[in-house]
Amino acid sequence: MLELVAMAEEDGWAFVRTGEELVVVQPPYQAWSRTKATASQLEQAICRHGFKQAGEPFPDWGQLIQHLKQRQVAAWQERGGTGLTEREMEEMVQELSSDRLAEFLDHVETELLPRQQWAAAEKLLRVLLGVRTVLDSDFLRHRTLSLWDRCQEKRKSVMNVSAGEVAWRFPHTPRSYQELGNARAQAGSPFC
Amino acid sequence: MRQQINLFARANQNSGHIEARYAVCLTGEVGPVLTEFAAFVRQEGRISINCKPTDCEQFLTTGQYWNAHELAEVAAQHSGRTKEEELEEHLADYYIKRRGFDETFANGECFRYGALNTGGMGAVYYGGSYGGYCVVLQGDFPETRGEVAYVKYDSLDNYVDAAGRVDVARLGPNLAADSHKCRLAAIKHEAEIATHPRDAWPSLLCAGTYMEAVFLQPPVRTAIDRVRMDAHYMADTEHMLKTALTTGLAGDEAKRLSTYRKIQLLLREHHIVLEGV
Repeated sequence: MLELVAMAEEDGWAFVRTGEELVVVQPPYQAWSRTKATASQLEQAICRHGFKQAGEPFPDWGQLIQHLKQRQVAAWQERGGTGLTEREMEEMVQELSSDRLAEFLDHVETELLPRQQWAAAEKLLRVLLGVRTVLDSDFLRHRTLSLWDRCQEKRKSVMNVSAGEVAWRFPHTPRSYQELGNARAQAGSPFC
Repeated sequence: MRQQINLFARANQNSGHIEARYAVCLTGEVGPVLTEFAAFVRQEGRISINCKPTDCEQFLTTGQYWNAHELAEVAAQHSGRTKEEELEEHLADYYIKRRGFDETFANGECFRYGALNTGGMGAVYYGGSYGGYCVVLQGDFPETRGEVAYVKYDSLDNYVDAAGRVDVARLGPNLAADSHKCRLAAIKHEAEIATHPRDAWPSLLCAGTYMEAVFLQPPVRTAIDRVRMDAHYMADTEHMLKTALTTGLAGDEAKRLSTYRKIQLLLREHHIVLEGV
């Protein structure tokens, strides 16, 4: 049994008692964002940092974290908070350091392409191709373009299946879709 | 009502005592290093305030950083209850202790708290400063140097009992006026200084324990020198953009990214540097 001892709902931070131990949990609620705390830190959090005493029991971490997330979003929305628009996010990307942009390219190369998440990869690469830092850096620009080409090639290699091959591999696919030779038809997606 | 103590005058009165203790420290083996350490604290020492993301955003938006009494006052205006009722509900188990401390000192309700900071994330409040922001005030803050006192250790944690009684006899010798904060810091760290190289001095001063700054002047936005955040948290937040642009974020993640962006823009608008440390 866990006890939610105190929380700062607007930020999703909380002091939780797990048996004898007191811990602080913070977004994104990973093992590395959970730290041991002391009674005096709890006191400071309440007296000086706006945490509110709670005293609610929870059967497991999943439910507790779900509760923290819900309270956080509710408090945010109550204050009129809204998410960023796509344009605002693209502006943020414009301001990222070249190291961070390189990490984004790593993500495309090692996560998105191997998982065949073409649309996501293209979206990210398209945004990166509009970033001044990328355009001004030979290394980043070439790498982005090269990943873009790889994404297009891989996507094409999956999509460019002849109608005959689709019919042979997926005999139950309607003829009209066999002729499209697209990814959905290959998968025999029942969208007819 | 009992006679209230002027905390700042008491800190000033302690200067002679600090001088004497500091002189004794200098006669030891670590004397030369302590002299350097004190000079470092004098040169680099700033008051910093650690705050949660939403508090940081609010500070930058409104330009003001409210203490618990002011927040209770604002809450009372909306709830129709008294400020004291709001404060009591908010402080819950700690109400008596906190109230006792405030009432012991003249203008106790107007006190603001920070940490003496020479670099890094400041006072490590929650078992780790992850996810929070450290607002570092200008070197010349507060303007009225006579209205700041430095305490060797956290005041509420070390010099007040659960009934709200302040151990003034023990607190007194551990107070320093602005002019003597660096010597009090040197006295505090005399035993550890030999094992800490110079680049570890900021964390020596502000890790595990810290020297508390108690002051009267309300910090306003123009008093901010820079804002620091945990570099790991900064990276993690910026990496959320990948997901945001491709598959989208859950509500709590969207809030986190949005708050970070708002803080970034407010800092830029007011020409304040954001450092990942």
